[in-house]
Amino acid sequence: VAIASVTLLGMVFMTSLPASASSAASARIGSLSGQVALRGRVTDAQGHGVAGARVDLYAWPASWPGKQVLHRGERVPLILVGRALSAPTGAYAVKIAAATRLTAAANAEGVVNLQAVVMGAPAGGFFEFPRRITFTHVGPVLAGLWARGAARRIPQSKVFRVSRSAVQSAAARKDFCTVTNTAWVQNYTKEMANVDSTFMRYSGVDAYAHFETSTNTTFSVGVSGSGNKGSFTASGTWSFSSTTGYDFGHNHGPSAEHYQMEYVPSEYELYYTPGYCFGYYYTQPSAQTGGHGLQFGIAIPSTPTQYCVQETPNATWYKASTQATTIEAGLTVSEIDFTASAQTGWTSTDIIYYENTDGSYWHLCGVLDYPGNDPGRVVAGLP
Amino acid sequence: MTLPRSARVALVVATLAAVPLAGCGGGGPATNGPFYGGSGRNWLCSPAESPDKVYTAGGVWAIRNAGPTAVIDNVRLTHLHGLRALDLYAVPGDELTGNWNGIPSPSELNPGVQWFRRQRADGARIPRTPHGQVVGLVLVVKLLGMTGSADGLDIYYHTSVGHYLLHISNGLALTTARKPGKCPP
Repeated sequence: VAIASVTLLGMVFMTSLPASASSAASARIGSLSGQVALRGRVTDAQGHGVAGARVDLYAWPASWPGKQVLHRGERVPLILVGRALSAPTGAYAVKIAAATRLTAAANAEGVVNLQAVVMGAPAGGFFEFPRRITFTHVGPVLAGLWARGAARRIPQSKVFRVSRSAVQSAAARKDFCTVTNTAWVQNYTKEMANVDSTFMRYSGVDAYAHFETSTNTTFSVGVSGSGNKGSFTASGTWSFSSTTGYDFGHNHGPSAEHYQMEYVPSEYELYYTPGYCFGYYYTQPSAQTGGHGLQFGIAIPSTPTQYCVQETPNATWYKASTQATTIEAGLTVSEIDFTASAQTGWTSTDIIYYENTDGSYWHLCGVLDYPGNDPGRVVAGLP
Repeated sequence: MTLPRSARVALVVATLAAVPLAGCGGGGPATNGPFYGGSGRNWLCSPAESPDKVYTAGGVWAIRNAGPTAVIDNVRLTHLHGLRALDLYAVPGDELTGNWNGIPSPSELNPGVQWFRRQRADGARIPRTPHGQVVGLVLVVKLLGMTGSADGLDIYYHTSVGHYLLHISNGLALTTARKPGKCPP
């Protein structure tokens, strides 16, 4: 184990890090070192800063999720990639200290799932979020999955609301523990998740969708200190790279439909080295089944006339989205009462088509912007 | 859908030079400038009425400027083939011109399209885009054969701070067939 220094707001802490963190990484990888991956504050319930809390940041291995056959109690070897202590104001900033390991943990699309844990916090100290390692003209950047432009470089932020006494008790005793792994506990009932939608206000248009393999879909994570039914709350998001794709058939307007793919939500539990720790249970998808479906009769969103664009007769409009598209209904995990309405998710590189069939001029409208930009949802036909 | 003679003359006078036809972007300009637009990959695949008629693509590309006034140095259609670009305008407003067979007359355009404030895209000065506004890039093209396409736009521009490139992966494919066929081609 190498010893590295972590500078935080003027204070220097000596912190143990994985050996690879100090190894000579290539320049291409090495420039990820020192980038802030997560920042924010650790506060008590009243919002006052908690000093001395240790925030550990772990990466899931690239082979997870969805690439492994799971067995009860099987343990996922999490990879420590950064660590920080909160300042007297509660502020913290976790910098990447193990760039090589982090890069190895990214999937083929460069996406890596990260997990932050505030040590000693019995609740409120768990947070997951995905980032994408993107290579730019200034080198690799740990970027947001869906943000655009300069916003992509803004580190993930998180305010942890924890028990002051518990965290400071751990800090005072210098009895922090470390997450050694996370264990798969059980699968829940398979659930359909909406991965995209099309909307047609009139009869002169067909719509269809194609969901691509390796599409990264992001789901909210349900977290609990006890694992009991009803105790899970949403905290952070988890990126799942799809293992199967599907071509959905044509739908004729007027119509509105969700395109759905089936996932298996699972429960996991964190394991620690001995020390002053509290366990966390959490739920997130562990597999995609290949199942698919359609849900018809959904409400057509309103679209400002401003975002409607005239299209020519018999034209086809194709959109392969790489931007966030909110999934109104994520995974419903009825066994633990983690309700779908509390979840949001996003998907990318799914493709939708709108095709004019009546040979007349027609319109495509976006909800948030023009169809060729970031429209959120796209609706055929003027409002 | 006819254009007044004066406007038509203005369009015809437009030259190929106004729209550089090759799109092999170099590695020079930064891509993190104040312009933004596009998202993912989009394609409009459409029949054109005939090879000798023009097509106005005014609903495919829309940009905004989040910074100080910028000047567009040039715009290149990427992977262009089978299309002749006749002209390209930057048209401000709170609506887009839309896509047309032929060239629309100004009276046919939505009231939010400020056609009278259009500029030739190359050399256009683009101030910070007010909330709710947009700058539509309106391409007037002609098919050279049965099919033609371009898979996006490279917009080279500069501000007082530096030189930038915005690539928009919104493609346009035209055909003389009644239906566009495979999309993207």
